[in-house]
Amino acid sequence: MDSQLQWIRQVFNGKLNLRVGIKGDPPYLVSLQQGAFAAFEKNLKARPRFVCHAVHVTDDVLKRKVMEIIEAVQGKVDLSQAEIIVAGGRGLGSKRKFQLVLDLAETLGAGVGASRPVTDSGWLPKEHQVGSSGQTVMPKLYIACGISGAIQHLVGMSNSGCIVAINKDPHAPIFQVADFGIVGDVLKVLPVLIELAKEIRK
Amino acid sequence: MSDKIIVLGEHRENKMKRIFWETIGLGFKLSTVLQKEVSVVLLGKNLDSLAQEVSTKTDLEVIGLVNEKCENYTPEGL
Repeated sequence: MDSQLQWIRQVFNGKLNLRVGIKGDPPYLVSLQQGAFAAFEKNLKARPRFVCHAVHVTDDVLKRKVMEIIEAVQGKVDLSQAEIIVAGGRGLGSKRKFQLVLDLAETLGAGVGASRPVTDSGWLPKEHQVGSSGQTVMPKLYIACGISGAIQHLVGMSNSGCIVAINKDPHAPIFQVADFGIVGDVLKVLPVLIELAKEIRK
Repeated sequence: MSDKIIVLGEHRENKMKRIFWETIGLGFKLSTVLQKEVSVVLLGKNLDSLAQEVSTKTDLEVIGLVNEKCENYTPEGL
């Protein structure tokens, strides 16, 4: 590939990653997937440099017209805006026990994420899925509970600011991306974390 | 054209969208790698306050293209 830049592009609903380069003469156009790059959050307080030009637009170049903007239906989950995400995986064992993840999320005011086995088993709706066939997220804090860390999950969350992983298998791949790891039974660790979080909230 | 990186700014209801700030993040990265200057282009109806905000925060040159018909501009819309 002769291109100076290479990009990763997801195809087939995130099941395959293509490595693509740019050929031909400029200009080039690139669009981004939300959550793939860290947002610019500084304020440089610079002296503003801007110029506005009136331009002529004819109706025939306007391919679409926005009639009305309707907010997303209630219940739709947008994890890309969450500052904290508590996510659970197969390690929780059952839909009933998954309640622990929901409880910790509620205490922390966090969004709820899940790995694919969880949404496949119907413990949570598909909208909560994080990973290559779900959402790509970048919260400040990501707490992975009973998630082993299959690559399909890691690509959706490994850019998070701080990753805390709880898993009983010390060799689980999730620990390779984690900033803090707790090796232990998630069903025993979560109740302790929930109590601690409640204490801090007080 | 090829001497510049242009970030096309997505905004709605007089507020820049989060994806815009992510694109700016990438713009700065590319600027370092490719040694090219970044500018921002906005399309819309009233852009002065947005253009000023973006330029102040980023220290980048902002070019606003203004037309009544672009009031509800979306990237798919033109």
